[in-house]
Amino acid sequence: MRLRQTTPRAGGLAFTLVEVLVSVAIIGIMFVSLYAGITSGFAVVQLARENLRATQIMLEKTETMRLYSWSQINSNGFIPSTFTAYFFPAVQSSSSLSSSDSVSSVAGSGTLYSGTVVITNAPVSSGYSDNMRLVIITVSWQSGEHTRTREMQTLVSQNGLQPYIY
Amino acid sequence: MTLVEVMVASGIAGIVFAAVASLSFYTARSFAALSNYVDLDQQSRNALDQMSMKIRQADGLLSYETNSITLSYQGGSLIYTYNSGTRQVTETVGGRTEVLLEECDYLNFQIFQRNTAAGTFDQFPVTSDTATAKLVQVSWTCSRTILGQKVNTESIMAAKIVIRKQ
Repeated sequence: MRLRQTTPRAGGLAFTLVEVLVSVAIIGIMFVSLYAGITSGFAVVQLARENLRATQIMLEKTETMRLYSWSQINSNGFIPSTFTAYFFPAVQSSSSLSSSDSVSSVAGSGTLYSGTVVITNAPVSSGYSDNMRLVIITVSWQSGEHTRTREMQTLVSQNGLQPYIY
Repeated sequence: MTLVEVMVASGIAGIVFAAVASLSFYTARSFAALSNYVDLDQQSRNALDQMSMKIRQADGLLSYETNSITLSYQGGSLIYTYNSGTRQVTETVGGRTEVLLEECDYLNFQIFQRNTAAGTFDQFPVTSDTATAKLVQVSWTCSRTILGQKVNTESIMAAKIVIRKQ
């Protein structure tokens, strides 16, 4: 029986150029995908933060709606139709109620939110619809190349909390 | 393998290892920042929800500092205090204190009367008598550091809360 010895040629253990190119391409695609994913994750978190702040701004306006009387709600111009707010809210305060305390002030900064407040007739067909108003609060801001807009609505009634409070 | 080949291979390997190490470091820091932000945001949202719910149900404000307020609540007192040393916000109800928020860099309370100023969204601040306080405004910032740097981990909260029963 005759055995044939198969020994690799000199240099036969090395990779060919095609193998190297394919492996480099695969590694390149993997890294690009990985960092595209991370960048996308950051973008999602950034949008979530901006959304959260927008919700805070709209909720703040909605919350203070209950402080207005019915005549103020219906008075044209008493409640401004536009407003602005920043991502980092402005703060102006003194350390306590004492008049001798210094007043500190921190201006708002970061993303600028522009908002509108529309007070209109309530979308109800009942007889008491004249005693209700629909308040629509909208904020928009620039997020990268996109303009984002969010909206919140609430109903205000003439015979709601105000007569109870006053 | 010649000396030149070894030197060239070592140089290329060094560059590749440096690139991989820096990318790994960047990736790890990014994931840490994302998870920190999500954690802080969840903590802040829970704190604001709890604080808003109880302040709304309070009967009125008893005392005020920019870092602490005391409210009349269900026949007892409700105290929120920010300690800048421990970076904690605590809630005390009926003599029982629990930590509401941790890793808080800044917190500010402001109080306002029920009267709103025409043409603005502002309320008149309380100047002397805390019993006239109708609106509590609170804002805070929490953050964590990664290797000594605050990297995209700030959680910002701001809210105006109307004391319903006042």
